Amino acid sequence: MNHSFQTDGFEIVQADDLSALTLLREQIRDLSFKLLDKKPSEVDQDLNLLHECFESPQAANEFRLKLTTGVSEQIEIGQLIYEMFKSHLEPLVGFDVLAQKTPNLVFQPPEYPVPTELHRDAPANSPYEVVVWLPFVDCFRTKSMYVLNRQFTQKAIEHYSSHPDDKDGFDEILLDHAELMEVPFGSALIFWSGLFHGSIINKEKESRLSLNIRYKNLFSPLGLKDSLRYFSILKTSPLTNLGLDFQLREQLK
Amino acid sequence: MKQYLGVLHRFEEKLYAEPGIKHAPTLEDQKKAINIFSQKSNGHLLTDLVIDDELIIGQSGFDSIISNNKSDGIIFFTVESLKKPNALIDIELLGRLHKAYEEMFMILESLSVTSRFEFEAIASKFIVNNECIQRDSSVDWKHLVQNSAISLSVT
Repeated sequence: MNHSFQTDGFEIVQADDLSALTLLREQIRDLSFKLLDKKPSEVDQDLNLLHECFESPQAANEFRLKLTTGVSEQIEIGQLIYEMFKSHLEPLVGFDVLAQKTPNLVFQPPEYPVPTELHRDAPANSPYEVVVWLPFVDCFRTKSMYVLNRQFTQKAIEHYSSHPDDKDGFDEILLDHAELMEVPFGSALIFWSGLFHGSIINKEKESRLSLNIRYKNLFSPLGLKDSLRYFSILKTSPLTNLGLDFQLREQLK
Repeated sequence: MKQYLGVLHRFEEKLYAEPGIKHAPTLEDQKKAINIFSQKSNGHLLTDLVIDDELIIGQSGFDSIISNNKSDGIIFFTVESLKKPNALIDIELLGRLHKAYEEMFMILESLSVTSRFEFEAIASKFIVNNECIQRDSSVDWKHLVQNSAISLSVT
């Protein structure tokens, strides 16, 4: 079923530049295998079977943290992903763009006991942010993540407001309406920061390695999360450049 | 070896505004971070200064420090120390600091100013941030957002 960002608050979209994404996946695999001191083979298999390298969830999490640092230091990830999905992101955030400084890498091996709990980013993040969820392997069923669309996110919020103690009622909305996303490698899920989302224990036989990163317009309202800490300017339009140059001179007189 | 002035920030005692973080960094934590940072930058901390509300309001403290400047650079734990009482970053002060110090760093925000180009990029970012804060907190903006939301829900 097709979804629309405007109506549902999310959409699964194909990369504009699949070769760049394929290259990025190889870089991430290479970084991973260097950290693990392993010899790489076929990239899809290497990542799907990454869980075989770990004996405990703690070891897997330590690896994830090291990989996050490596990716942030060695790859211009905000710029790369924006360019890969530009035709889908630019209509949402415009020409003056902020990108999250450090992306979140998620590693979800089979039966890993700590899935991502149900939550929404906004609030506290700005409700003017878009999240790009990019898997490096094919994601389906429990190997993927779930989303409540705009309509049911709103229903869940209203239910919680009127029945704050009714956990069963809230869970019922979730069970009935949360959709597990089917996102093949080469595509990304882009979703609005106000949607409820999360993941469950991965019951498939393969690992999920994915990344999520946020974009917003430079001039859109701020959330509680400090924009200066979490975002950097990715690009500005020629008009914005002139305006900023003018203001800078005025304020430094 | 370079000499740096470290600037610690005494956060207000109310709840720390950052979601998911229970406590504001203590002065000790900040000093530790600044020490590590200065060592990594091949320098050492000449002295450190604690910014409290009084100094932020007056800003005169910064100017006397600037006029007696004996260090190569200044390391702020956070940009918060450069904010005026109205929560906006003081761009003029930033300009004066840039003239006085070869290098300027803000650890929490991962920002560094070591050239005119970097200064202009960071000052521009602060200007936009100030503009957004002013706009977001204005009554006119709240009315505009409300009216836009109503008209969008009608169409």
